[in-house]
Amino acid sequence: MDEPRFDPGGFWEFHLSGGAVRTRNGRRVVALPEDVAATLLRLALAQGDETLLARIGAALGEEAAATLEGDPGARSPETVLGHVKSVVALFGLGRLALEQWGHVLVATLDGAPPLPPDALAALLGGLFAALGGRDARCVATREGRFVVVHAEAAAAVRSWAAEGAEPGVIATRLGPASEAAS
Amino acid sequence: MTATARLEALLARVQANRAKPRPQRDALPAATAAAPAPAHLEPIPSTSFDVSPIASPHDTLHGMPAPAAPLHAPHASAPPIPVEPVPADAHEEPRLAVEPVPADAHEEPLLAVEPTPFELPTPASVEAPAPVAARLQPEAISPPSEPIARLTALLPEPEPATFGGLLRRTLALRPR
Repeated sequence: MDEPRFDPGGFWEFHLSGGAVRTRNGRRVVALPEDVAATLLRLALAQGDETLLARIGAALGEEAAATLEGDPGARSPETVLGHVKSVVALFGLGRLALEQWGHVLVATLDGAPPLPPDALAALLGGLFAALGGRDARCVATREGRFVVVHAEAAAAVRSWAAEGAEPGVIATRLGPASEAAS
Repeated sequence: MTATARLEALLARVQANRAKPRPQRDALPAATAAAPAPAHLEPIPSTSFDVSPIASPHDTLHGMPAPAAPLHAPHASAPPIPVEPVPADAHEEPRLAVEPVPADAHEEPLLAVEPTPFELPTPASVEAPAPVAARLQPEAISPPSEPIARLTALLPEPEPATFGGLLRRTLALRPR
C-alpha cells in the first residue's frame, strides 16, 4: 500500500479579490495575531469551555485526514504523524511529535503558542478524536507531555499527573480494560 | 795615470794619426774624385776637467765607513724557511679519509635491547574495590519494581502496524 506524501505547496489558497484564505480542502481560516488568539483561548478555557479548543484540534485532524486520502487509521503511524505534524506546523501551532511509553501514546508539542497546558491538551484531544480516536482525551503532565487516554480514564490520569506522575508511571497504572475490570 | 793624463794622451794620438798621409783615391768614381778635399780640422783646445769620484751613499754610514759586505734586506738575517713544493691541486680542500657511509646511516642506531617480557596481571590479582564488589553481588541488586516488570512484560508484544491499531490500544487502557 503506497503511503501518500504530504505536499505543503498549495496548502493555503489566498483569494485576494475576495479577501479570503482557505485551506486546500476549502476550509476558510482567519489569521489572527498570536497574542490575540491566545487571549481568546484563555478566556474560553477560564469559563470551563474546552469545546472551542477541541474544535480547533478537530479541524486540524480533519485537514490532516483529508491529505491522507482515506482512513487515517489504516495508514502507518509514521505516515499519519508526518501529515498531522505538517498541518499543525502550517497552522503555526508548533512541532508535534509522538512517543510510546509501553502501550500509552504520548504527544509533545514544542514551540506552541503561549497557552496553558490544559488548553493545549484539549486541542490535541480534539485532534486525535478527528483522526479516528473516538472519545480520545489528552492529559498534560508536568514535564510538558500529553498522555492520550480514553475519556473514561481521563479523570484518573489527570489526578496522577497533578501529583507529578510522569508518563512512565502513568503507563504502569494503566492496563487493558478487561484486566482493569477484573 | 790620472784621467786627465789619459785624455791628453788620447788627443795626441789622434792628432798624430791625422798627420799621416792618406792613400790616393784613384779607384773612386769621378764624381767622388771631384769632391773637395776634407777641411782641415783645427785641434780642439784641450780642456782639462777634474772628475772627482762620486761618493756612494752606501760608502759611509752615519759618517763611518760602510762595510764591504753588501747590504741585505732587513729580513735577510732571518733563517731561510724551507718551502715544500706545492702540489697541483693545492687549492682544493684536503680530502679527508672518510669511510663510506651506509645507506641507513640517518636512522637511529639500533640498540641491542632485548624485549622485556610484558605480562598482563592475572585476573586473580585484580581486586575490585569494596563498594564496587558490593554492587556486583547478586544480593545487592534489588529486584525490579512492579511497574518496571509490567513495562518489560509489555515490550515484547508486537507493535500495531497501523495508526488506528496504535490508537485503539491506547484508548483501551483503563486504570488498574
